Amino acid sequence: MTALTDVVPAERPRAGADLLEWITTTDHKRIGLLYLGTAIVFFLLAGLMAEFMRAELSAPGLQFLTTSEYNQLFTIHGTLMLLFFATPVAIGFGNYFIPLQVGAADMAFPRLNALSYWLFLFGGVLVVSGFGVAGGAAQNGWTAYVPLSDGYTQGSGMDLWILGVGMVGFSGILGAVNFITTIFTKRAPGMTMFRMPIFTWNMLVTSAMILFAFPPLTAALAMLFIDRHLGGSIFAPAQGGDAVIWQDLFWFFGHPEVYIIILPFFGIMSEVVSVFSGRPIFGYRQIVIATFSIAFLSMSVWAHHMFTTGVVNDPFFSVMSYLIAIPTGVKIFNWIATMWKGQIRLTTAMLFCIGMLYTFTIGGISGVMAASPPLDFQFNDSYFIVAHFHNVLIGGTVFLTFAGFYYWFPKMTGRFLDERLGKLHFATWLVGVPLTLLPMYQLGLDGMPRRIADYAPATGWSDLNMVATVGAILLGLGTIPFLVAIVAALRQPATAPADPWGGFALEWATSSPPPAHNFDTLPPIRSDRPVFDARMAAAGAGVAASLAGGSPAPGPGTGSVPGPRPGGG
Amino acid sequence: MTRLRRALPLLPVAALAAGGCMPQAATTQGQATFNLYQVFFWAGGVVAAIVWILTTVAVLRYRRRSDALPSQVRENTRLEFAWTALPFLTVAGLSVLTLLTLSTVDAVPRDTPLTVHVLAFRWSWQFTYQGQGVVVTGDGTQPPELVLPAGQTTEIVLNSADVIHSFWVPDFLFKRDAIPGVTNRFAFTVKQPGTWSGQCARYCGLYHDQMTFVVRAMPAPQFLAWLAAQRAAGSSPVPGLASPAVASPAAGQGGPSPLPGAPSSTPGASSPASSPGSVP
Ligand code: HEM
Ligand SMILES: [Cu+2]
Ligand SMILES: [Cu+2]
Repeated sequence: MTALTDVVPAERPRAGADLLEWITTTDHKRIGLLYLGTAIVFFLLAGLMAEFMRAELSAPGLQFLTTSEYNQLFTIHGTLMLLFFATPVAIGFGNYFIPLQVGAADMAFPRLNALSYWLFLFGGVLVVSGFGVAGGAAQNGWTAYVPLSDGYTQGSGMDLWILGVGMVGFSGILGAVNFITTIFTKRAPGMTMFRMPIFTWNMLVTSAMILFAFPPLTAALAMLFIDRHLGGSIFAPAQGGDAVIWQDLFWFFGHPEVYIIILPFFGIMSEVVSVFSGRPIFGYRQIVIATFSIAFLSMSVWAHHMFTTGVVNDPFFSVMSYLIAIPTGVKIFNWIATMWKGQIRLTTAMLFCIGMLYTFTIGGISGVMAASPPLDFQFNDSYFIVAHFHNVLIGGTVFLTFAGFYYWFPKMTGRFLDERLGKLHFATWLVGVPLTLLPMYQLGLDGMPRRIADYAPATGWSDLNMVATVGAILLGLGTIPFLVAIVAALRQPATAPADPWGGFALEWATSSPPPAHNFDTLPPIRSDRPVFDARMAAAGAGVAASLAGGSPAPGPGTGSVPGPRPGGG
Repeated sequence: MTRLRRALPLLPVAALAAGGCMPQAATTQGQATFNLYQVFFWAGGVVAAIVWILTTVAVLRYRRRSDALPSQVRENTRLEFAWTALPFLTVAGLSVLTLLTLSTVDAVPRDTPLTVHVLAFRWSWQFTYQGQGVVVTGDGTQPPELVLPAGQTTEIVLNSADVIHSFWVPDFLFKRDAIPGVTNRFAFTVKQPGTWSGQCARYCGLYHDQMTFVVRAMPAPQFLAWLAAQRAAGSSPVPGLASPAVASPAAGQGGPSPLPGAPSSTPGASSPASSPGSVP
């Protein structure tokens, strides 16, 4: 009784203190959650913009947007999706799970980590705030080609875009430095490089790519700002400037960027597929080598975005682009081989990974097609390209983001996302993606350019556009079960055991959610699957029954990993 | 089950076919692209079929049946080599075909019977028939017409008066960017008389979606008659049409000067200095 009255009045001041704690936090797990939550908000915002655009395009004629509004929407949609959702969501997962997977108590530079988050948040706010200024938000596409975005664009929306993107670029660089240092210096005893989980490997390589790719973007943005406000003419051909050099700088960032927003998710794929097949990841070394090859090659393919400029070496960039498809294909075979002869558990996380194998493959194939300059002369800047990149981004990045959420949510919150809602979520997206994208491929071949608010009835594009819009609405509706599952889960008590799935990597060797210092004890680390080894040891030689975690319901069995061994090993 | 498995290879093909029909090419150069596309399309269909079948079989066959510990094999050097080498060979083959097609598509013969200077500006097009004294300029009310002789090769010299645009005729399966400060050249041979729509493909600002044009190809004699008629009618760039469309940024903001001369220059004589840079 007294205990109750003690608690109730204590509630109120705690809410404020909680908020302050979140704002001032330097704990990698909290920062990770902030990143993930904020990225999802930007995803929903950008998704809403997509629905507006698809509604406008469903029929010829301007229905309810002006041309300028449409142009603002695709610019901010693309910018938010790539730089304020896909990149930060990877950094969020990295923040939460890299220290856990390498057995560390926190990141190498916790305060720098907090700074990265706040730069990201304020950058996003700046970009979106453009909608509130005279003339509206930036409307030159996420690529902001010059001289259009230079002397031909007035209004502060464009400047807010430059500053916002500059801030998130800076945030990415700080985050990358932090990840690299953490991985190199904070690994637990026994955690050699080649015992690191594939997700951590991929985050390491991604971070290195950020260090190479983001500075050219920052430099290009600074030059653009100089042109716009300090009397420069770097990008103004009429004054002796060069209009093509922006594209070189932009794509020297932009192409690595598209791998920056897929490699971390390939890492998630490797974790989820191997755990839910009950097998080690097949070809661990080959996967690591493939990741490095992708990183190297991604630095020398940028001009495949510039085949139609007529001023780049098309054959060279074409062949380099073909080569980068090989390591990507290799990974796909490795994942299938991991599933082969496994004991596959079709959890929602696993379903999204399997769905990725179906959808991402089509996006990869259309990408190889676009790497052929003659074919790209037709595809470039058409809806074929819109379909291609949405195919890899939704089929890859978004599907695997969802997989990551269903897989790691119990670890991060101690609660499960409802599997029935999850399967509904998965089913709608699996149907919605081809319904949205296949018509777009055909529209592109038929001659529909991207970034147009309207088209004439005589073009004959109405029917396919309507189908694409129906698909997009389905994707929008399909997101609702996901959100409901999150809200519902957060209202439940935290009951998840340490290791609900029968996991392999170290994050499953501590409670869900982990304590502030992450680990009370560490199991010995003698392979890339310390938690699996510990489980086997506990089950005793020859008894394998405890491998699969069974139902996600909290319960005994595979729940916790015994950790009586001397920590660290 | 077996019937399902037999039908599986058709699925990705059907999926691709639902969104993968390249239009028939109206030019001989486009024909080469069309042929290349067929190879890529079917090769892509085979790759998709392989991945889809393997994935489906894995899921159906290895769905969890018991608590037994599955095989923990984690490597197979021969397999890994095979699935690295096979994509490599595929890609090598596609590279060769690509490079061959590229040289056809990019070829600009020395003495084409007709050279047209195409100038893109916000938000229309100007077509200057070199040495013919004929200029066609879009006025924004309706798409300007690029009239050409069918069966003959035409060289296009492409420039931009302001920002970057892109000259695209979807039925020619070809586009090329119009970049200020860069002169791009390409050539095509329209196979048959006909009319096709063209459009700016590179986002160029507010009215990018309205920057359309029409290509009309006619038999050579008719084309010559058309040229003569235009000359007689005193075709000249309609003054003041292009210029207002070009936004003049506030002075001192580093914007471009009104226009690099082009749309208002005299017909025929206005061939921009050709830079050799972009001739393949
Ligand atoms: C929920 C499903 C989505 C729909 C229905 C959708 C729809 C669209 C539409 C209608 C456009 C404008 C096309 C144009 O006018 O050129 C667009 C552009 C774009 N979208 Fe999405 N989108 C979706 C998800 C995503 C995701 C998940 C990403 C990235 C992670 C993404 C990245 C982009 C980019 C980069 C652009 C190009 C913007 C530009 O042209 O500057 N989209 N999308
Ligand atoms: Cu690229
Ligand atoms: Cu345009």
